[in-house]
Amino acid sequence: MTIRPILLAAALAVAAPALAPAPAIADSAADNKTLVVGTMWESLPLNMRARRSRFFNESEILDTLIKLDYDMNLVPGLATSWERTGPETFEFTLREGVTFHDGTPFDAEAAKLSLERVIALLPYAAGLLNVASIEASDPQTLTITTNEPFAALPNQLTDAITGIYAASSFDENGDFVQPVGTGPFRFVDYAKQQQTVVERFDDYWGDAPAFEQVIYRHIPDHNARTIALETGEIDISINPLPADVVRLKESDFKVLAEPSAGLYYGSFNTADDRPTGDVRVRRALDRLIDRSLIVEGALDGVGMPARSFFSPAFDWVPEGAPETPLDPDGAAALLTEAGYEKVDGSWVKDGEPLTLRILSYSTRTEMPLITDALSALLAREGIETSVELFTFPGMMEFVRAGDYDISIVFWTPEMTGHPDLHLKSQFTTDATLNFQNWSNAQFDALVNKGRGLDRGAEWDETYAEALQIMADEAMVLPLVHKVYTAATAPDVQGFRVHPSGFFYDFKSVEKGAE
Amino acid sequence: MLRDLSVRCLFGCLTLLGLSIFGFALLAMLPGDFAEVVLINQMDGELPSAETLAKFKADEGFDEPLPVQYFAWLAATLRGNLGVSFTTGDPVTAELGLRMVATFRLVGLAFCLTVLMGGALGVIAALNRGSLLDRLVTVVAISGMSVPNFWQSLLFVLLFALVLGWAPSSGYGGFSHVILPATVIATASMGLTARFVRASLIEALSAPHVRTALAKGLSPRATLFSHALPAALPGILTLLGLQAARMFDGAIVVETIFAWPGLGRLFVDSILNRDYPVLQATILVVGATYILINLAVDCAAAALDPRMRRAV
Repeated sequence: MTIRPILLAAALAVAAPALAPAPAIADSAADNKTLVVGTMWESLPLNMRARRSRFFNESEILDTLIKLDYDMNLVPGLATSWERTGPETFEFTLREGVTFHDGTPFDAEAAKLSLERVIALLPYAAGLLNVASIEASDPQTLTITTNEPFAALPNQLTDAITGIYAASSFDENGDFVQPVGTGPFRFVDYAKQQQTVVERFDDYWGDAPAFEQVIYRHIPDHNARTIALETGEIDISINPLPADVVRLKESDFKVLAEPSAGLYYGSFNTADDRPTGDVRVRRALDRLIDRSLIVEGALDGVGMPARSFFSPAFDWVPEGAPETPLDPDGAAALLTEAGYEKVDGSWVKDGEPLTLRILSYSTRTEMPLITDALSALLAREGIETSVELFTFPGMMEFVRAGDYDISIVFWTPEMTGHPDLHLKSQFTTDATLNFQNWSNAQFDALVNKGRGLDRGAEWDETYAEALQIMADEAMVLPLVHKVYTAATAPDVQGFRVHPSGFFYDFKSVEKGAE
Repeated sequence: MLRDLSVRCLFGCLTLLGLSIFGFALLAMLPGDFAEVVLINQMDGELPSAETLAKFKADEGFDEPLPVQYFAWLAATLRGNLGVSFTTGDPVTAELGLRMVATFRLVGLAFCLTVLMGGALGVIAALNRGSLLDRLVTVVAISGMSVPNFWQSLLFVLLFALVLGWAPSSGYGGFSHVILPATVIATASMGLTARFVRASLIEALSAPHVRTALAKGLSPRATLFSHALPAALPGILTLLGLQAARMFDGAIVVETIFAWPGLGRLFVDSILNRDYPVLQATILVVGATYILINLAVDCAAAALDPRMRRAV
C-alpha cells in the first residue's frame, strides 16, 4: 500500500470544509445607509429572558410606555401621560395612531396583552413590577393596579423588559417567537453569535431615522472590537478599554463618555465579630480612601470618584443627599477612638494589626483594577488587606457565610431612575439580598414610606434622611461611579451614550460628510 | 480486527458516559447556587429574590435530588433531546450545529497548515542536519511554540487587518476570515511537529535498511519517500493525532479574539453561565471527537505498519 493516496485523501477531507464558502458578512460600514455597531454582549432578539439584550437591542425595536431621557428623567413613550389615581392605581393615556410592525394597531388591549405575557414568561418580571392587575378601560387608557402602594411603577415601566410586543410576537401557546414592536426599526435577521440586523420601519410614530439598516455585530474581545473600528469594519464600538480610549482620543475617532447610574462600591460586613462591625472603623475607611487616585491609577481617568451612594450627575437624586469628605485626620481620630493605635506606620489594636478580608470578582473588567487600587491605598495608610477574587457567584458563597469584611460589587442602583429599587432590595432588614448583617428600623420605615410617595418635598426629605442614615452608619463604601464609553468613526454624527449604559438610540444618528 | 474495533467503540461509549457524569458533578460542585447563577445571568447581574428563585427551581426541576436530575437528563439525551439553552433559549442542537461547523472549519484548516508546514520544515531540517538551514528551522519552530496564542492573535490582527488590510479583523465568514485564526492555532503545533518530524526522520535515515537501499544505488529522493518516511510515519501520525486534539483548547482564546462562533467559546460561556444543557452536550461532542481522532490514528498506524495490526 502506498501512502501518498491516503495522505492526499485525508488532507482533502480535512481541508474541504475549511475552504468551503460561508455566508460572508457584507462590508456595510462603508455604506451611508447602514450603521454597524460592534457590541460586547450578544444581542438575543429571539430570546426574551436575557434582560441586558432587551435593553440595548430591543430599545430600538420595541417601545416602552415610558422612556428615560439622557438625564434619566421620565418622558413619554407609548404613553403620552400618566396619573396616579389612587395609592395603588395608575392611569396611562396611550399614544394615538401607532401601529405595530405587522400593521396591527396599538391600543390598551395590546398593551395589556403584552405586559401580561411578559409577566407570565419572565421569572423575574412579577417581582420587578409588583403588578396586581391590568385593565384596558378604553382603547386609549390603561389602568394598572399594584399589590401595595408603589410610586416607582412609572420608573419600572422604563425597564426594557416591559417593551410592548404585538400579539404576533407570540405563538398560539403564548410562547415568544420574535420581537414585533412599534419602534423605529423592524427586526429582520439574527445570525447566532454573529449579528442582528434591523431595518427602518417607515410607519414609525416618531421622527424617521436616517439609516435604512442597523447591524449589531457581536465582537466579545475588547481589543478586537476597537481594531474593527479602526479598520472601518464597524462604525461604533461600545465599551472600549480605558487604554484604547486614551489612544483613540489622540486620533480622528470620536470618543463619547457619559457618567452613568452604575456604582462600584464596597459592601461592609457589619457583624460584631468583624473589625468592620465597629461603625467608627467603617466611617474612618470612608474618610480615608482618596477615590480620585483609584480613578486615575486604575481606570486611566474613565470614571467618577464616588463620595455618595447615588451619583450627583442626575436630577432625580434627592435634594440634600449627603457626601462624605476626604478627611485623613478625622479618620485617624475615629480609629484612635475605636481603640487602634499607629505603630511603625501600621494600625494596631491589642497587638494585632488591622487586617481586612476583601472579596471581589474578576469577571467584570474594571473590578480587579479597582480592588487592587483600594488594597494599595489601604496599605499606604497602614491597614493590611487580604484580597481574594472569584466569579460573582463564587464570591457570594463567602458573603452569605459572613466570611468577609468588605465585598466589592457593582450595581446599577438607579437603572430606572428611582431610589426605591436598590435601597429596598439590598439594605432593608428583611431584604433577601441583605448579607451585610445590617439592620436599622428607622431606615426601613423611611424606605417603605418613600415607595408610596409622589415626587415632592416630602419625597426629597424622606430619601435624603434615609441616605443620611446610610452615610452615618457607613455600611457601604462608594468607590467609583461608572462612566460608560463608546467610540465612533470620524464621520458618525449625533450618537450619544445613554447614562443607563444599555439603551441605544440611533434615530438621530447620521453618517457622512462632517 | 473488526472485533477489536467494536471493543474500542464500546470503551468509547463508556468514556462518554463517564464524561457526562463528570460534567454534571463539576457543575454541582462549582461555587454558587446553580439556579441562582442562571437567573443572575438572565437578569444581567442582579440577584433574584427568594420567591423568584423558588419558582424558577420548581419550574425547571432543580429542586429534585442531583441523581434524579442526572438520570432525567440522560434519558432525554438518549432519546435525542438535548434540551434548551438557559442563556439563549434556543435548542442545544441549534447551538451546537453552528459551533461544530465553525470549529471544524477553523481547526481543520489549522491542522492542514500544521501538517504541510510542520512536515515540510521537519523534512528540510532533517535532510540538512547541522546546517544553518537546520538551525533556522529550529529557531522558527521554538518561537512558534513559545509565543502565547492571545498575543500572536492581536499582533496578527494589527499587522494583517489594520496595517496591511489583507483580511478582516474578526467575524465569521469565508477563507479571508478563517486564515488568520487558523494560522495562529497552527503556529504552536507547527513548531512541535517540525521538531518531531526532524527527529524521527533522522533516526529513520540512520536505520540499516535505509543504508542498504542507498548502497543498492536507489536515489536519495526515492529512499526518503519509500523507505525512511514510511518507517517514521506511525510515530508522526500519533503526534499529529495528539496535536489535533490539542488544537481544540488552543481554539478557545483565538475564537474569542476573532469573534469566531466556535465550540471553545461556547464551552467557556456555558461554564460561566451554568448553562448545563449546553455544557453537557459540548463535553460529549469534544469527548467524542477526541475518541474518534484516537481511533483514526490507531487505524491509520495499523494500515501503515503491519506489526501494529494486532494491537488495534
